[in-house]
Amino acid sequence: MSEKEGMLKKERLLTWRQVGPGAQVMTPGTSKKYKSSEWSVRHMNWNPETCIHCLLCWATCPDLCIKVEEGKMAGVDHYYCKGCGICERACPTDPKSLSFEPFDGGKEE
Amino acid sequence: MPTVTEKLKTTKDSNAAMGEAMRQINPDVICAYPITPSTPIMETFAMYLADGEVDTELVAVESEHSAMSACVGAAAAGARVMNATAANGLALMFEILCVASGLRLPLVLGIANRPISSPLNIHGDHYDTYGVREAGWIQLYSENAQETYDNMIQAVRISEHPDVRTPVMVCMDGFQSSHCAENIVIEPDKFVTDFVGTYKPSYTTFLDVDNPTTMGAYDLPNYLFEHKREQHQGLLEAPAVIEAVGKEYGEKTGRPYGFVEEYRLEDAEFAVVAMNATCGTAKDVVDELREEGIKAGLLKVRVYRPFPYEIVAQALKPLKAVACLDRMLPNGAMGGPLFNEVRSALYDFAVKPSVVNYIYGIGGRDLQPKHLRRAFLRLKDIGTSGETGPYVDYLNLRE
Repeated sequence: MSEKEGMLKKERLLTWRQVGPGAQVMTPGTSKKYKSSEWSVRHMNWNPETCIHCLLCWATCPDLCIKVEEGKMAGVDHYYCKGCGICERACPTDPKSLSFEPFDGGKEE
Repeated sequence: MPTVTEKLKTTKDSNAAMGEAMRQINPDVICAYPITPSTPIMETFAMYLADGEVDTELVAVESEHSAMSACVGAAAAGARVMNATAANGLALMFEILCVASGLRLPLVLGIANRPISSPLNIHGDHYDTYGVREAGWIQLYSENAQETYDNMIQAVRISEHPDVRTPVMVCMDGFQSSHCAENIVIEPDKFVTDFVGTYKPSYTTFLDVDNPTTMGAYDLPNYLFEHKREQHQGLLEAPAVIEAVGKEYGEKTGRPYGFVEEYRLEDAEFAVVAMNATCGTAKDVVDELREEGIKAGLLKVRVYRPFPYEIVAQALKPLKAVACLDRMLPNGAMGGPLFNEVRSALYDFAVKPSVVNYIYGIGGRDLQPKHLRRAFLRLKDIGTSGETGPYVDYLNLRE
């Protein structure tokens, strides 16, 4: 398992004799490599025009997917965002500065 | 009873015998939440700890789930870890029992067998360890205080062997053994220290800050199958180690151990198969029947997981009829757990004994010689008539 690069991309799958005892992964912090956005069925859009940088989205996101630069909202980490929608609920602006649409809705990343 | 310098003949119940073995093994960590009838194991050990006889880190936790969780953490960090429990406590541990075996962590867990609620009952039967028989642990069963003590010491070696790396349960009957004082030989402290040796984990430990790794990670359909097959290998490798450890222990103490004990089975026609304390009663009944000219025998199963099916089959194959004794109802299966293992082990032979199942001893119900005698006489009838009758019957149940 030491050569394993998480669950990303195509990899050569090991046999049971190769995996090693106890499913121990010989590197730490492997969950960082897991692209949890693969679970998502919808895509998050951020509108910098209406955003007031209150960072309620940052405070409520359960997956640390709100990027912040110099104290200001700076975008969404689409590698980890699962599209749960909590940030949209938390966003106080009208219209919402964070909105979700299905992937097939034509929105770009 | 601190410091045993030479073989000591004394009197102990199985709880005290386990506590004594733990003192001599002197494990690094014990995480305990005692429960009847296993409580005196930890009371005995705590006394030794308070007296400075051991230098174990004893972690008092708030539940059995926490107890086994803390044991897993300590074992993952590379400690030699032991614990004791029973019944509902073992049931509450179930999730973490599977974590321990899945992570291939050596552990030794003493059990005083007891029913699982409901209804609440603190006396003996085998609902608890039968209930966790598929948790991936090795299970050793003990007829008396001596075997309980001997099994605890051997369990350390078996569990920690690099080819095995599988946790071990050492079982004995609640109250019938746990609270029954019997004659026992305690080996010298130095013998036990030498026999179990200094523990060096055969794996890269969890809490090595210089070599951090990931344990217990999320597994997907593309790997869990391979990991479970790899885990299974530990149980497939275990028999060779159990045999070698039992033989070495025998050479050094005069008390050898195998997978089963055959009692007057060599020329027997009828036998019962049983585990734990009832085997003592069964030996007396076998002796009585032999004096009456009935060729009775006993097969005592010491290792239930991994089940020694080849040895059991070879031992029972020549017989006319066999009764498996189970201290648990079949719960919808064809028979009790021991019955199913034994009958399955014999399946491949064209000529084989009839196998029936007796349920007994539920909730501490007595199994007296007269009840076992009844079972043997039925086996004799089966041998004569060839008629098996119902597979499952009950001993000392009010019908």
